[in-house]
Amino acid sequence: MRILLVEDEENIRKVVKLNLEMDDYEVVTTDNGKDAMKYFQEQHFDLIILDIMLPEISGLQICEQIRLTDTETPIIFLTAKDSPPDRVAGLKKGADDYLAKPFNLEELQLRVKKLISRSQKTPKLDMEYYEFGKNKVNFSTFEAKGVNGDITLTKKEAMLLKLLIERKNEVVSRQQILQFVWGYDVYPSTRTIDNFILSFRKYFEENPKEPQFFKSVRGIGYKFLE
Amino acid sequence: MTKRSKRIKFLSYGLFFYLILALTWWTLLLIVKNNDALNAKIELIKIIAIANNPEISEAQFLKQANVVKLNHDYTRQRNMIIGEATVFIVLLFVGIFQINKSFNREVDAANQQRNFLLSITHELKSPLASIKLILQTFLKRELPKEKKDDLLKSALTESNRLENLVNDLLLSAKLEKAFIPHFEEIPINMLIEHSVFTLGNSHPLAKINLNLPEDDLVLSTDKEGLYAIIKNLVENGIKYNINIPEINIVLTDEPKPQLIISDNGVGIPDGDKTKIFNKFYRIGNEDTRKTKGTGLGLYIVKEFVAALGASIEVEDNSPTGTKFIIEF
Repeated sequence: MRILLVEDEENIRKVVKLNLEMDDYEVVTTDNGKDAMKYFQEQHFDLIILDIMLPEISGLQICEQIRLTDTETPIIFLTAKDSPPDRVAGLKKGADDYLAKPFNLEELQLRVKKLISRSQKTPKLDMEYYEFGKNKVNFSTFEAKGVNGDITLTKKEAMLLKLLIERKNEVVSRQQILQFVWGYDVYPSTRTIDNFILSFRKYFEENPKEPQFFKSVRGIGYKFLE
Repeated sequence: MTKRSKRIKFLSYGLFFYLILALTWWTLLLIVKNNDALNAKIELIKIIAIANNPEISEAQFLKQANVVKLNHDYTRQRNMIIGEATVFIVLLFVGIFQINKSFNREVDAANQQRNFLLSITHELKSPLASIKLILQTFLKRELPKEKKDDLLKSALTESNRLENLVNDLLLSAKLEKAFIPHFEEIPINMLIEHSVFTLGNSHPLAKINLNLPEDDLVLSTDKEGLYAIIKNLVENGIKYNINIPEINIVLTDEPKPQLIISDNGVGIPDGDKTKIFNKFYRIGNEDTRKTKGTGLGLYIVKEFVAALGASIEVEDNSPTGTKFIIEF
């Protein structure tokens, strides 16, 4: 489990990191919003802990930015601002929890544990057989009958196909795909996924140039439509 | 500025604009009506004059005493109306200007208060949070000795930070009400050397250069006050700095005793130079702040300078940074 900790107080950062690492989390830390955004875009995190008063970009702005593309990763605010309006502002920006300094170590540990376990909705992916349009896919034998002939899918192709079908009509981001299918925590900037999608179109689309099932959503990811 | 105060400002400008328009309109109307009344009166006099003397010429008529008096009265009244309107508009401008000024001052004060609350909250709670976390970690975990020592050092740093803050708060409260300087003859060179030695120990990365006159300069001043002034100015120069901090302290005796403390820090924008000595004033927005502080340091400096009967000025240092000149 990976946690991003954004905190500009050196000692708090150090001690929180130490404790979370002793609880077997992998912790990436930074003291500023710019790096936080960079890490968030390049890596997978299961939880984000944010301070509010940060140099240059405030924690609230970071949270807002993250929530534009990712509504799932849990976010906890860890801040000295503890008035009810501050809490409301934090939760409104899309945070899942709000902890005011000085806080109890155990309370933080419990909240982190709870939020992470709740957000672990791994796709079920236990389907064995699926039909869409004139295509038939058998996930247990990796065999498929596409509009353009019979194919044997590779393991990764089958996983990606399952993931997209599971999230039918939803946009699945590049990050989610890389994390789930390839198991990357740090995202490489490859065109691998694009190539997979191109293959899918060749296998299953009547007109691969005007795909009906496998759509790209520019700048975000891919969508399976049926 | 909040949305509400912006709306109030917008409304008051609207009202002001309306007042000017209305005033101009009423003034013009009054002049026109007055003119009409004059013409009507002259017309009446003319009819009577022609009835009395059908041969009367226009020039003769205009020279008649009552016509001259009417014209004279009219001119006087018109000037009076214009004068009144001008005075009114000038007063209105002065009033609006004053209101605007005190409004801005109120907004500044409210912002300052808000900034103070934010920074003091942060400055008090952060070290407390660190110390609490460290203690709870000790209670909960078995740590190797190195780690323990490291954490203990951190806890000490944080409690020092808290101590400094509490001292600053107490000092500024004392300066406001109960401070009486204790004047004594002090060799300033020694005091400065001693201060720099202490400051150098707590900021080993900073370079502090001294340029003192050969003969010891003796001044009648307050030790605690002078030390607080030097400490705050030097520490500001170190804190608000993106280079390797270099502070120059110059003491001169010609023509008057002067202490000049300059740094190579980020400098102070011209618009803020008059405000930095205000209590709780900090440049910029507290939510996204690079440095931590309470806005008390320079306030303490200003109060001590005043208590010691000295004066302080702030200038840009070249190529970067700030220069504070204290004249005793």
